[in-house]
Amino acid sequence: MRRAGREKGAISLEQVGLVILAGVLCAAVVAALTQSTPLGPTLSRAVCSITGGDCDSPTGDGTGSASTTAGTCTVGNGRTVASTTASAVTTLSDGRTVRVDELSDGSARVSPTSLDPGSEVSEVGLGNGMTVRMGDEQSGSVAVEVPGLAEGAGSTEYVVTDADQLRAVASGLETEQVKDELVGRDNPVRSAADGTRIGDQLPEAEATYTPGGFSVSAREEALGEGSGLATTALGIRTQDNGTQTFYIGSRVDGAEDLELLGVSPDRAADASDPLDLVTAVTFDPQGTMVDVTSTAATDTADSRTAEAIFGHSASGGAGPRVHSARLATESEGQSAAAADFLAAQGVGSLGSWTNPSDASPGGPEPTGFFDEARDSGSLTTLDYDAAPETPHVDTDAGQWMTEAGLPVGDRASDATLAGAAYWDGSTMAPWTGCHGGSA
Amino acid sequence: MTWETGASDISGAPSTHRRVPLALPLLTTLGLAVAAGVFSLVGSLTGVAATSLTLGVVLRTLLVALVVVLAIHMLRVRGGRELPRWMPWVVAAVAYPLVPTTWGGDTMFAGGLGLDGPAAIGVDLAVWMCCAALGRVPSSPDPRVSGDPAVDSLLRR
Repeated sequence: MRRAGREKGAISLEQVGLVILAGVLCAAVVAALTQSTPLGPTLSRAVCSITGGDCDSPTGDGTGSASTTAGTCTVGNGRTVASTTASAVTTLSDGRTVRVDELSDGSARVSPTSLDPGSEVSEVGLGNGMTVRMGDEQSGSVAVEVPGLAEGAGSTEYVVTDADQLRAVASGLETEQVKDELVGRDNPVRSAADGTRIGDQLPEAEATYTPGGFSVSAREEALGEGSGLATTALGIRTQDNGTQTFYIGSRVDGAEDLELLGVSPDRAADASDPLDLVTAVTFDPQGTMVDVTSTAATDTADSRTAEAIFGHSASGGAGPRVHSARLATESEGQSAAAADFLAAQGVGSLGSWTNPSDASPGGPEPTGFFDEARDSGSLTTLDYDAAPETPHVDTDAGQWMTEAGLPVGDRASDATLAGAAYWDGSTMAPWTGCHGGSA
Repeated sequence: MTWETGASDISGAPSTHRRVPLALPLLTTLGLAVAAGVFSLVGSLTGVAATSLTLGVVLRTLLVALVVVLAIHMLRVRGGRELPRWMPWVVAAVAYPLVPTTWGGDTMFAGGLGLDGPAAIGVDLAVWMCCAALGRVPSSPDPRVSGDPAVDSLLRR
């Protein structure tokens, strides 16, 4: 009798607990199912105010900042392809920054970036997933980078054509970030969470970037450790159409390295300043190499190593210069030049492609990739004014960001294209189609 | 299923090994692991739906804490005197690593504070066990009080 009385109270407590639990669960389910209503953010802010966290409104309050960069042109086999005409960097509500590159075909590319919107650093898109970074106070120089592979992490790139799509990408990126922090990335719980399709879904990605993924030690294996260029496998970009681009970073330091790249000894003789090359090798979905582009950036137009590799261009001023050599591998000669160039950088294979070039000492004289690019590909130089601070330019990308509720700063770091030149078959000629803004 | 125990009988009868039913603790362990996993995920997904890390972490912590407190409390009540006093601790300690979200340190709030791996798992375990302790607190005064300290100490054993 006494026992029954004691348990009666306990059961009541259980029932109360179950009612509370059911209520909280119902609230959670309602919140999850009504994600478009303000319940989620309202709850979030209420909880935040209780816990004393940062209770700022999410995306759309205009508290962030942004930077913009004027753009550049990109050529492929003598034609101008979709190129960056302006860029802007914005801060998502979770604190991450994304670049919005306005392209010449009217679309915009959205990709994560490590660039601080408030800094004086400018990034300008070069096409093919690469950018040139200028005005970096830490490094004090310009550098060609693959932002999708920055800091050794993979990332994803999206293409949008209006403000609604940009908003969807921004919301999806924010949701993914929250999901990463709440349930991790690669585990069964994340798979279950992804399976529910709760939260804003990211649209289909244009491209994904994976760090590393291949080896660049073939040259050292053939010649011994320490021989050849200092080369790094930066990573791989996989596009939604199956095209893959492998990025290779190499430091050219001295005449010996230049000769390895097929530069004639007389041109290599006086070049002693080190130069960092970023080479992008693109394969079609069938695994056939279709394009090799090698790019380098220098603080000024005065670099002997760059001049030895890419040739001389009289245009430009005292600002940063970007050199680029591009070769479509359509003929045997072009393929051989590309293979020799990659072998010189220690690339024995890229995915299913195996380098046929003989990289051993005493092998055949390497075909000059840059000479071949000059003859049957394209060779360009782009000159920039060094990062002046200018008001935010009123670009389509900027307008989309405003319409999408993303913060856009009113002042920004800006890089202006001061000159452009291309190899016209006999000399580096002014590239008016690019610099004139009609690209 | 039973468990041999040497707990003394306060009736004063000769000391004998008594059998403790294991079915209830086992069921509670499994139920707690499943429920905590589900509620942790529900809390996290609510945060995802609202694009709010804070909401997800706070909600899943509350839900999981509630589940732990209730499960241990129900175990204690339903187990009655037959249940050894250490059994709720064992149930809580065994259930914790069975929760899938524990493996990534994402069961309660430690993962949301930026802690990773063992640190997050350890901090969440400490909170988990605190919740278990809360569940062991009687919901009503223990009537087994004689007023004699010596007898009461035996009753509390």
